[in-house]
Parts: sequence; C-alpha cells; structure tokens
Amino acid sequence: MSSAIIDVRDLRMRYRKGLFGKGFEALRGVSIAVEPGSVFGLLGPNGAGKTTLIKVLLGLTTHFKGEASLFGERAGRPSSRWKVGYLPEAHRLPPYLTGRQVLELFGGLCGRSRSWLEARIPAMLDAVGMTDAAHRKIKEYSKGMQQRIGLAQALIHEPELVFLDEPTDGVDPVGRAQIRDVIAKLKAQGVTVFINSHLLMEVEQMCDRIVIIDKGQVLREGTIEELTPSTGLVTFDLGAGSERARSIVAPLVESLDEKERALVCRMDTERTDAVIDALRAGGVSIRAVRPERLSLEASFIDLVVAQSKQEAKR
Amino acid sequence: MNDSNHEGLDRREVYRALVRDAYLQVADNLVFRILLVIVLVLVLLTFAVGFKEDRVDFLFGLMSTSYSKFLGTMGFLFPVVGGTSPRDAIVEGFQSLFTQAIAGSFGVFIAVVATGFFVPRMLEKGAADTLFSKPVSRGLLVISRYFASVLFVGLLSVVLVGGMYAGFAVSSGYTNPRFLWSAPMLIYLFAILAAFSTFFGALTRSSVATLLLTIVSWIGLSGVHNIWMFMDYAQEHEVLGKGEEPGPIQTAFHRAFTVAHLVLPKTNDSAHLTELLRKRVTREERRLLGGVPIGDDAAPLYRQLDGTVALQNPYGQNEVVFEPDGERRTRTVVAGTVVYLEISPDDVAVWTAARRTDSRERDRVEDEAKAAGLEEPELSWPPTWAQSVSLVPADEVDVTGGNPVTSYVRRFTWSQQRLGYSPLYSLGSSIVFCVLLVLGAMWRVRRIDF
Repeated sequence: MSSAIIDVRDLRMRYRKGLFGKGFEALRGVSIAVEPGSVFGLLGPNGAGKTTLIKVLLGLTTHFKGEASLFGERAGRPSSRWKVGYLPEAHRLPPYLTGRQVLELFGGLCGRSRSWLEARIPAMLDAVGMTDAAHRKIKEYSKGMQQRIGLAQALIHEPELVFLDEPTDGVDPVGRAQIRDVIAKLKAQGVTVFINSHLLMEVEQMCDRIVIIDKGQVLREGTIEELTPSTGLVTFDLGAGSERARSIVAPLVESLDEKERALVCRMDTERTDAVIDALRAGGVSIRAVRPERLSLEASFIDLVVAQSKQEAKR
Repeated sequence: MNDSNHEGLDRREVYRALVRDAYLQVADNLVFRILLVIVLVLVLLTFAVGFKEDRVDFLFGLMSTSYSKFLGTMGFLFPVVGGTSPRDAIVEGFQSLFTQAIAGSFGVFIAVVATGFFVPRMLEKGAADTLFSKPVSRGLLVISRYFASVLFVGLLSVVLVGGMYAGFAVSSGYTNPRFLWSAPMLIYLFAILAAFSTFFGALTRSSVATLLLTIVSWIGLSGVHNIWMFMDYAQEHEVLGKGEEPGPIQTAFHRAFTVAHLVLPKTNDSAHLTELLRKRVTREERRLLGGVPIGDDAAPLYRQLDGTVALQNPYGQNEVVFEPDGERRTRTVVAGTVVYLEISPDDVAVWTAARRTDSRERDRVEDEAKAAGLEEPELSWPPTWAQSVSLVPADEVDVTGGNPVTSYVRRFTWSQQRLGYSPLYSLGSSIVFCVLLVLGAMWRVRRIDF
C-alpha cells in the first residue's frame, strides 16, 4: 500500500453542459502522489485543472473517473476530510459572523470542542495578524483580511493536510510574508501542505515538490532542482587579483564572458572545484560562486508553450 | 474519541456548531431584527393597556376610559359582543388578530422572504467550497439550514405569543392558556413552507426564484384545500345540481382535487390541528352523543372529556357548554335563566329550567303537539319547563352547519375515518411530504459539482 497522503491515479473529470452537451474535460488522466510532511506545489495556467483536482480530492465534485484518495480513504467521503484544511480560491465566509466566530464555527464543524478552540484561537489569530479585527464582522473585512481569516479557518483544527488555493491572493506584502511564515511553521510541524498557485516565485520559495499541469494533464513533476536545470553557466564574483582571472580560467572552461569583477563561464559544472582551486592558486580572491539555473518561470513557460504547440499540431 | 474515528474530534461538536451557526445567522438577519422590534412593541402594548371588567386602563391605571369611548376612539361604533365579558371579548379579539390574522399570514409571508435565501446563499460559489470541504455531509448542512428557518419563526412566535400572554395576564388579568397554542400553530405552518423553501432553494440556487416558488406553493396549497373542500361539500349536498348525478368532468375534477388534497401538505389545517391538540391536552375532547331535534334539524350534542356537555348551534359556530352538576346533570345559564340538562343512559335528554314558570303553557304546547300527531313537542329554547327529548342517533346528525367551512371544521376530529377530514392523516401526510421535500433538497445538493 502506498505511503502517500494524497494518491491520485488516472483521474478524469468532465464538467457536463446541459443534458446532451459533451461538456468540458477538466482532468485527463492525472496521476500524482504526495508524501506526508512535504510542501507540494501545483502549477498551471488558468483553466489547467488545478482547482478541479483539489475539488475532487475534497469531494466538492463527485462525477470523476479514476482513483483519488486522501489518507487511504476514497476522496469525497466526509470521513476522509477530518484531518484536512482547505482555503479555497475566492472563498466567501459567512458574512454574519465575526472573525473569531468563523474560527469557532469551522473548528466545531471539524469536531473540535469549544474549550479546545478557546485555547487555540488567540494563537491562530495572532499567527495571521488578525487579533485586533477578530471581533469585527466578516462583511466589514477587506479582501486581504478575509484571506487571512480564511487561512486561519483552514488551520484552526490542526489538520495534517492543508490545501491552499492561491493563499496570497489579495494580500499585501507584509501579509504574504506572514503567510509564508505560517506555511514554513506548518512544514516544520510535519503538516503536509498542498499549494495551488500561479505565483511562481512563491511556489519556488515554499515548495519541496512541484507538479506542472496544463489542459488537465501533468506536464512535469519533480523537485525545484529537477524542474530548474542548470544552464551550464557559472558566475564567479571576484575580489583582489581579478585582472589575472581570465588567463587562469580560460583553459579550464568552454567559453567565458568577463564582467566588472566577475567571470561568467560556460562550463561543465563538475569542474567548478578545479576552477576555484586554480583561481586561488593564482592569488585571485573569490567573493561568490553562483551556478546559474533555469528559473521556474522560464521552465514553466517553456513547458506550457511547448504543450500548446503540440496541441495545435494535433 | 467519541463517535468520530479521529482522536480529539467529537461529532457532537459538529451539531453544536451547526445549531450555533443557525442561531447567529438568524440573529444577524435584518428582517428578523425588524420583526423582533415590531413584536416587542406589540408585547409592550399588551402590558401598557389593561382591559378590566368595566373600563380600559392605560399605563397601569395612570389613565382610564370606558369601553364605549375606547372603541369609539378606535373607530368602532358598536358595543362589545361575544365572550363572557367585554374584557374577554376584546382580549381574545386582539390575540386572534395578532397571531392568526397578522402573524399567521403577513408575518409568515415576511418570514418566508427573510429565510428564502438561506439555502441558495449556502450553495453560492465560494461559500459552498468552504463549508462542504469540512467533514460534514451535505445533507446535514441542508437540514441545518431548514432548522435555521424554523428557528427564525420559532423565536419570533415564542416572543410574540409568550410576551402577549404575559402582558394580558399582568395588565388585564386575562390568563386563558388557549392563546399559548398559537405559537405551535405558527411554527407548524411555517415548517411546511420552510420545507418548500429548502427544496426550491436547492433546486434553483436562486433566492428570488425560491421566494416566488414558495409563495406560489403556499397559495396553491391553500387553493387546493379550499377547492376540494367546496367540491366535496357540493357533491355531498348536491348543491350544484339537486337530484342530478355529477357529470364526468365534475367527477374528474373532484377526484383530481381529492388526490391533490390527500397528497399535498395542508397548511390550512394548522389552526385546526393545534386546536385539536390543545383540546386533547386540556381534556376538552368531545364525543358526539347525538342530536337535539330543533325544527327540521338536529343540534349536535357533545360529551367532552372534562365532563362538560356542549350543544352546538346547527346553523353556526357558536355553542352552549353545560358544566357538570351532579352525577348525570349538567348546568348552564342561557339569557339569565339557569338550565339543567340530564342525559339518561337510553339517550333521552331531559331539560329543566330553574324557573318553572307556567305549567299551563307546557300543557298547551303538549296538547298542540298531540293534535298535530307529534309524539313530543318541539323544543323551545331556552326551555321554561322540564322537557324530555329523544336524541337523534349520532350517525344521523348533520354536523355540516350548512356551509363547507363549518362542515370541514366539525368533521375534522381525531375519530374521523375519512382521510380528507382526518387530522392524523393531515398531520402525517404533511410531515411525509415535507420530509420528501427536504430529502429531495439533500439529494439535489449532493449531486451539485461546485
């Protein structure tokens, strides 16, 4: 049996349109597995099927084919969601409740007692920076405040798995940093976090493992390192003796470009140590060595564009 | 760990959270608050105005006026009629006006408007995602919204009826508990409408459509009941064509409305049902003993559980109640005359007036009856001498009162065998239909892909 906390195999989901319409196939054979304790990122352009995948896992859409399970239980069963928290994209919390009452309601719906919640709520409000606004009604909140309290409701019952759909949407930079802090703490506590976002930089900062999907299909899956391969360029930032560097390094690399107090070398990255040794032996001071990787954004765009071209050819 | 399978989690907390959410949703509702203020004003008025036996007091006797002046100020030019005293007549009139006429129609309508959005709003994108991702079944959430609606009216009804009862008790000294039964009547009526509202809310996911469909259903239910009632009465009494068989179209319509009446919830029965329930609780239930012959008709005579005997006007709603007075004898006062009624085991009723005025008059009437070939003289009312009459057997008494509404109300008794007139069937079929509506709503919500 798989140790994965989320296990999805050949998942297909079609949104129906009318009685006889073919509808739209949002997921076309998606397979993923998420291990416990990881921060998992789901990337994809608009309409790729990211939110649909989460909704299948949480039982919000039920007409799917294939296998999808949470904690070994078939997705969709209420019992599979006891240990799950969810912050939906564009969520709407009950406007008649205060921030504190929202946490009491959703904590209660997850089976937590009033006394347990009483002890937990102040810390949670503090973590998302909502202590001062906790007694105001949701209808008085700004979008960013709603997002923060939405995150708190997803976490209030101390779930083992959290789905965050665009968690920093509408939140100011300070709030984003707070949310990133919360996610880092969750990771430290061993909570599995499933982030769905189109903010690539944030995903890059937070996630251990990433899946890129488009048009309902998985395009690529891997760690950040696997998805951002080396470009073959290494930059050496130099200090004293930099004027001698070019002649020392040139025999060891394929090509090089000299910039102000820096050398950008195209080389086999395995030879980085040899270059450093040579520079040091030549009395050149090295401030930093930066192997260049393809950015996640560039990797993502390459994949999606390539996929679109393939689709167009068909 | 309780009945959930996860440490520290308790399914009872889920129910508590849902109940609390229902309460908070209702309490935050602007319409609820406005209605609550109106209800509280009405309650305060019942405290401020005291109806005494001979006068009307304002602010606990700070000011007083006579009934004629009070009624004149309110635009009434006729004296107080009905009830055992002016106070009782006016208090009962106000109670009936505010609970049945105003709260039972206008108030329930406003409550339907105020709660019609509960289910559609829950199913809106964003709200549904958050709520349905919790480990709670969608069906349970639908039920919680249904009960939130019923709670809405329940709270208002309890405050209105309880408050008015307390107000009239304090300021007027009127404490007839019969009025308290108005609260369950309102709640029962609204519980039926809330089931429709929940169903249409799940079906359409639109607040406006839900509201319109629920109101149309209410009008439809009332219409079906009334049309069936009139058709049934007309057919039984050959009103439409005396001596003629009803035509095929008339029969088909009658059957269609009979089926519809049997199947659909019966909102019109809410007041009758609570009245019957009240009578059972207060032991005022009655059994038809027979009929007292009056002219060509027979006045229905009932024995009630509390030992009283009620003689009903065969042509109207009013009746005379005889209190127990000895083993078989009962007693009442009619137009200042004390009248005794004694019913023998062989169903012969003996009337005795306390003032036997003129035995020669009695002899004259009896002689005339004999001359006319009658075994017994016609009963004069109130009787002025001891007079015995043989009761018409119960199954031969026409209890219809001469019109469809009275006929329906009088036949609507626990012992009724005909389903269309049976309170048990009315209650059972209404509950079954409403349960089906809520189950339909749950089924529909379960199938929605958000």
